[in-house]
Amino acid sequence: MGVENIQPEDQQAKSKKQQKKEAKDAVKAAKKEERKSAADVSVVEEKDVSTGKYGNLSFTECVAGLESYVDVKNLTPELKDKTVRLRGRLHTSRAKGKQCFLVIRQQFHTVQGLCAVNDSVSKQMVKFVSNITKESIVDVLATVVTVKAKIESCTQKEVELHVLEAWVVSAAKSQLPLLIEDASRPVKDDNDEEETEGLNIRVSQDTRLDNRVLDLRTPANQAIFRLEAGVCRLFRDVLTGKGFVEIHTPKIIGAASEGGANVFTVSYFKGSAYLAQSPQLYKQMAIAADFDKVFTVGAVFRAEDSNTHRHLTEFVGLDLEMAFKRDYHEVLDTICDMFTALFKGLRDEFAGEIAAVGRQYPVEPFRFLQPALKLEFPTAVSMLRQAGVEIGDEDDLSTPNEKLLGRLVKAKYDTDFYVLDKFPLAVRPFYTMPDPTNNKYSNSYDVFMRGEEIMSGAQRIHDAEFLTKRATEHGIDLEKIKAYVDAFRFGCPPHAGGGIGLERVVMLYLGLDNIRKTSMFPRDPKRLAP
Amino acid sequence: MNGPVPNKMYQIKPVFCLPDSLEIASNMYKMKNIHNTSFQASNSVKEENTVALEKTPKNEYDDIHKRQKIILQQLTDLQNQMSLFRNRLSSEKVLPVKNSASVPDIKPNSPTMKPSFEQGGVIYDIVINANPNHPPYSLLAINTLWGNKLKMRVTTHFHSTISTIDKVDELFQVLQDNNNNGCNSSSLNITLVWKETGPDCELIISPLHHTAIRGEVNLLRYLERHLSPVDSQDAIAATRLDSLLDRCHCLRHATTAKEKKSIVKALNAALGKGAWIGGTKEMGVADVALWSVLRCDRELELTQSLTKWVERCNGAIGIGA
Repeated sequence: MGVENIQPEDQQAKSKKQQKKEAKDAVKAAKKEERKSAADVSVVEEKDVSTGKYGNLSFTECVAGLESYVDVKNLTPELKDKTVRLRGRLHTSRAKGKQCFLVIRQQFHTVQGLCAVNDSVSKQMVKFVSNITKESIVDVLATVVTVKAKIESCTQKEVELHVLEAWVVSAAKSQLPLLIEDASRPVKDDNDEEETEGLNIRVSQDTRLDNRVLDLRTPANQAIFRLEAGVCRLFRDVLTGKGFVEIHTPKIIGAASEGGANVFTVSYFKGSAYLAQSPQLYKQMAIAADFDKVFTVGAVFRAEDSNTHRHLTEFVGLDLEMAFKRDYHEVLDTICDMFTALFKGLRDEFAGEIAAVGRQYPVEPFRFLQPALKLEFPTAVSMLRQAGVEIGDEDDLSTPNEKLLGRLVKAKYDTDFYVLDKFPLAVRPFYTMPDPTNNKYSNSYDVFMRGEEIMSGAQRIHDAEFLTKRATEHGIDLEKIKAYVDAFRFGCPPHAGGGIGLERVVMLYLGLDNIRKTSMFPRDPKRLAP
Repeated sequence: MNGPVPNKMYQIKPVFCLPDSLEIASNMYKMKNIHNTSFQASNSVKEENTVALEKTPKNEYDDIHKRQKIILQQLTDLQNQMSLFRNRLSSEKVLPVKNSASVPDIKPNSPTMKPSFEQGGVIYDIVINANPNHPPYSLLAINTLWGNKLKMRVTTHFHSTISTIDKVDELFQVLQDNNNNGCNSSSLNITLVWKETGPDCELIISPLHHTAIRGEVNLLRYLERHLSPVDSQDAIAATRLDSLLDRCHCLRHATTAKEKKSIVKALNAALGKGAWIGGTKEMGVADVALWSVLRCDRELELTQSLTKWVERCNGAIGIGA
């Protein structure tokens, strides 16, 4: 009974409350309406003066106007007061009342823009500009204005752009998996970390590689891959200049080359095939086919399950092979000349790129001698022994010893690049030509950059009978290398050669700590995508 | 009940029964019963010990005796040597300058012509870093100075810090051409690196054990100390040479004309009326050092006798002005 009695009262009370609430809401709504209508009125009153000067372009449209596009890097005080049109990425934008600062980026060049309300620019346009998502591609028509104080945050420090028109060509998602700003933040020593103020967000290697498209937009990455292209071009140019012929070798092969370990097996119709581990056999066959001097640039596959900073399962190999007349040092000299020309070209033509990488990663300038420094293996052994390393005459260099030797050579000769000649025969593959004067050593050489081996080459045995003999001494199944041996049965000039990994050379030239930084889409045992 | 038991007492059951044979637990070590050992037995052990001691082969004692003797002998030898040294050193103290010829005895280098460069058949690799704007011309004179004692092999490189190669004086090409004249075996491999260094050239022998030796005169001094016959190292002459070399170094680094003038004057006095600055019969290290400095700085005002001397040097080294 009591309960029943209460209910209507409650209802009444509720309805009272509700009424109050509704009344309040109504007032609120009315106010809102009022404000809105007021705003509408103001819009109507203020009439957008910038209509037709901003907006989103559909992908079939293009911006009207006859002005040709200008590159950000060409924006200098000489263009003062001129009106320019440019297309770039919106790097950052910051709205502040009636004005909006934005930074437009093209590769590694950035310029500051200012969009402020004035006679020709409306509030709506400023609002639109400040709402463009970062990393969107924008077309901007703007006046170049010189600034009094240098803009330290941009590469074009002396000018800024006063925006007249702004169009979004392609919008980026508002949520980015990584920010270019964070990804391009300079890497500092751990000791400095505490001292630096403000944000120190770092993007992990995996996040970078998962979102490689965004990551590649950082100035350092732009520079790294331009430099890598430079290495490839210089390699081609230098060798072509020396009379080499570029050849292309198959990447799918029937028999596993070089012993057979570490090869990828792929299905090949009803049977199986392997991915080429090295173009060596094909280079040598080209020599046997009278091409005299050949080089090749192409993918090389290694099925090594090693997750180190310097191993990839697929990389670009730059290989060369050359016939010689008197002595394999003709080839070694050619290789050394090629490297010094390469380093000189990089030093002279890519100073800007090297500096750009240096702004993010600590880069020590690569130092070298011309002609390149050549040391013989016994000299290296005695240098190591002087430093207290116990090493036999015929021992191979272990990785720590290689590094130590690199440091010793650097300290004495001040060069990051050197060649070690005359390796002990025992530590080289069976096809290496022994030294005719001392059968303990061989006509083989290793090339080092910053204490890491980048090329291992040798004079090859070009006689089928001798090759068979050496292979038997090494206990190699003759059936497996039959194709290789048979290539020399029809006469072959004495020849030597070697190959380098493009990624590794770029990594060591710049002194980077990981080979994944110099491979655009790296492949390692744990990564197949992107 | 069982036999003749006095009836006066009650018969009671035994409290416990011992088994016929005791089983000794096998989980412990067995030990000899110590209570059974008699005094006599221990005596015999002692006897055995002495016998055993006597029986050990005598030569062991002899060995120890011998060793002791040898050690004592060595100690007395050492003592003798020490007293010898003491005598010699004290005698030197009395006549420090005149007796300086005995100083080289203490030096580890034997008085051969090329002492340290061919130790153990090791070829010495040295690196000389030189600035192409201040070439160490004295390298050109090394063959003239020590050609009979030293077989050099020079390889020239350009460091990456130098962008244009043509700056370097063509004269240095001679050094590499000389390599072919000598036989294959060389006692000193010089790697000459043209590099952006200061005005002083650098000599690097082994970065592990030495710091770089800076300055052309010091390079000459180093070679001179290693190559000149030890008995010629008379202390007075050596000091004189050092001061001349220092003057050359100062002249290279002198900035004002006044400074230069006073050094030239002093060097002119050193030349006097002799043919060579060192006052020697042949061209010496000091001559080479000064000649190199003058060659670098051709605007220097020279006295007549110095001008003549420069021509003499050019002639001796075989290089035209």
